[in-house]
Amino acid sequence: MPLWLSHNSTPGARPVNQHSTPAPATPAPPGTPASSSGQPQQAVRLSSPSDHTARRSELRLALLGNPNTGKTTLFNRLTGLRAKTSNFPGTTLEAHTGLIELPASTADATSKPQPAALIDLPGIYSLELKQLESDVCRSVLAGQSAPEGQPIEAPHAAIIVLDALNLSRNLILAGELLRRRLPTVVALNMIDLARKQQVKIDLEVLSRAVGCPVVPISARTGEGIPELLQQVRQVLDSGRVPSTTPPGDEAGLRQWADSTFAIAASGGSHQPGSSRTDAMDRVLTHPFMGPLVFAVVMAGLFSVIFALAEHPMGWIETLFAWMGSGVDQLWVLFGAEPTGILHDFLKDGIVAGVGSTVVFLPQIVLLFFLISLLEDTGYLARAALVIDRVLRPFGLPGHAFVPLLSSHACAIPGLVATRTIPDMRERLATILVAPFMSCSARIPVYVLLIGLLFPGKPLQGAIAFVGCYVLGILAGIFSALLARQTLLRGKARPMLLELPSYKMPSLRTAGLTAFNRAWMFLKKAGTAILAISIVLWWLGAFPKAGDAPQAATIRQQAQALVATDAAQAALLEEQASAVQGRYEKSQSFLGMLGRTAQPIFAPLGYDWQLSIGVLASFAAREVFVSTMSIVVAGAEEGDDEAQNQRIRENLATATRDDGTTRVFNPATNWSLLVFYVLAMQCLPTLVVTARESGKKRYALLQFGWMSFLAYVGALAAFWIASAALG
Amino acid sequence: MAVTAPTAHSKDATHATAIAGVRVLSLLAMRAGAWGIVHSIEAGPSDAATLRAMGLAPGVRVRVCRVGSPTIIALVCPPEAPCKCAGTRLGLARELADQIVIEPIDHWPVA
Repeated sequence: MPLWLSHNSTPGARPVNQHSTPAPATPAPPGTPASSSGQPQQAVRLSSPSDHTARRSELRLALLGNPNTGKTTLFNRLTGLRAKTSNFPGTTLEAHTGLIELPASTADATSKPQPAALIDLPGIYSLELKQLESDVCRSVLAGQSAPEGQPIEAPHAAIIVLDALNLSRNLILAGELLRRRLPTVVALNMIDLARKQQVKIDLEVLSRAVGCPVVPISARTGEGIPELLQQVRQVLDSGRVPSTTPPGDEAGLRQWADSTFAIAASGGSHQPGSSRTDAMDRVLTHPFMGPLVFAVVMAGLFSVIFALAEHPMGWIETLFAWMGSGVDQLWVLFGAEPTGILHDFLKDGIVAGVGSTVVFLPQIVLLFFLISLLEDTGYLARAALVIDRVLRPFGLPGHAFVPLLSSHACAIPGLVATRTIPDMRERLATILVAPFMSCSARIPVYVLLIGLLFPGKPLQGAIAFVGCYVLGILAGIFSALLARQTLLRGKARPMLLELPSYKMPSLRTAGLTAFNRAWMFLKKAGTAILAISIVLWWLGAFPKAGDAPQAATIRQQAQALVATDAAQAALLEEQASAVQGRYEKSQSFLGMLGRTAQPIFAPLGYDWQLSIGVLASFAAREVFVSTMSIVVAGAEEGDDEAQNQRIRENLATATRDDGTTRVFNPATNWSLLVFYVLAMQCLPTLVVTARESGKKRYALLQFGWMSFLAYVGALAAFWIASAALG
Repeated sequence: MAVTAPTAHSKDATHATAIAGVRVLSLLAMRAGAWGIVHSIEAGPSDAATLRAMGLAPGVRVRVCRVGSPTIIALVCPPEAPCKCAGTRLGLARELADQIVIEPIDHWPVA
């Protein structure tokens, strides 16, 4: 049911257009009349094995159907993990393309299996609607457009998925497709459920009426899939187009659909009332019960995500720590001291930088897995109706809630999920405000600052934590309201959606969704995030400062003590490297930037050390914690618990240059907390905003507005806290 | 045909309007659990086309599950074709529901 995560397949191991071992083109059955089909060039291509283009170019099939017909389930069943996601050009609509293997034709003994690309078109109710999704389907079928990476040519054949339980309405889209004169196969889905409900469909009558093969299938159980592929193969080989042309006008088409339905389908139990679904819908969309259930479901969702993600996140941290020490080992292996630019680049730039992002992978996987399960149950559509009522006054549609919800894990998948919002202005507004939601990268910062504000007071700490989330949500929805009143003014498309029936969710679909989203995220971590990590490392590591004068003095003292008091000497040695670390950071480009920018941050109560931390976090906010550990405490947290404890104490007690004021005093902490809730400090998100909105200026606007709000908010927090705390 | 929509904003719309001798109501003026036949759709052309494509066309029988924001209706199959539209349920915004004109039916014809 393509409502939210509409399509559950994303990238795969094998890009479709680089299939390594293309099967040889199949000789067409004798007498394939090239000219009898609507697309003679396809028949020619298929029928001449000597044609070299036939070897390289692939067969392309379009998959079309109403929403909620199981089209996505069928796509997943056919392509599995061999799918990839791109866009339909010029739109933010996701295009899913997957590789399938068509079997050898049983009608021709010499035929061999052949690969084909399956293009999953957006689920639509009609090809003729003035909606983006319908426009895309029309132009792909006409060969005027194709998913990015695919040749712009009409598909060689189309598969239309019809819901056997809702045949009358589904036949309207089928009729529109039949008029396009493409070789077509009808996949009559949910045939197992139809049997159970004693709905009888006369396949022969239906097939005659639509003029093309009809294959009963169940995408859920896999029933009929081989037969479907066989029929697709046969219409491709023969190039046979449907033999009926349904009427083109809406009324005529409706009549055709009705009469086709009347002759082909019968039976079924007459059920004037489905009281259980009615009752559930009433509760789930009730003005009070609806939001309550929603809150409980979401609280449960996030508790599960945070509880289950904890251990895998620990494993990933361990893995990257191990990779970091692996870099050291590599140097030792070659008999060198583990230092130097290349060593630091690998260890601090690449491994640490990518590791700090990849650590969020378990949360992202779980989020998409659980949301896909929820979507499958039918609950999400009801939740959309509930949330529509809440978000509508702010100019956002109910569809915005999954993107906003996902943004609480990470804004990047959240922004990708805005593709399901039908209205362009509403989608842009959602993209602009999604990063206000407190993502998991903010959590380490919240933990640090709230720990400093309320040491040993878990209740106050928890309240402050929740407060951060609430502040982010409020800032987001009011910014959306502002955007919809000014920049993105326009009438909203009123909420209208089909409510799927309640059912048991499919673990398979959820697993595929989670896998594909995880893969997309990893690809991002391997490219944009890697590049940013390297730049940030470089800014923090260069120019190389020499030995800090103070550190040298301390080292000399340590040397003097080695013989008499080894423990004291070790402590001094550690102190010396802490001083050295601080010195190097303060002399780096980042340090210079921090000093230069300090006057800007002074009104917020930040000294130059905090300014470095804030500046460093403009690429990725979670960097704040590690930067502050290095700049203020002179060492990064590691595996040694006792040392970590010392670092935390150092952070709490560290003083500014005047020697008396604490770096982290309470008013500053409040100001920092508000700043980190509101500020746009994530370069990958800005990159994705520019891509998803299609315009760089939206990314700039997002950055400018969020930075402005963060500054003003932090300023206010600093004043209020200073006044209140004396 | 040009029809004055059987008045907007539900709560005042307790009175049925007669169009060409047929007693009709806005969907918003219906009671939950009531039955009706879609008489006409007064929404803008694009919303109306979407509604028709989703199966909500004049002549279609509906059961009202919930009225207000949101309004939920189930399409009901005619007795002679009990599997015609099995279980299609639509959730609509209040303003859209107000633009759907329904002819209430008191007795559900039994097949």
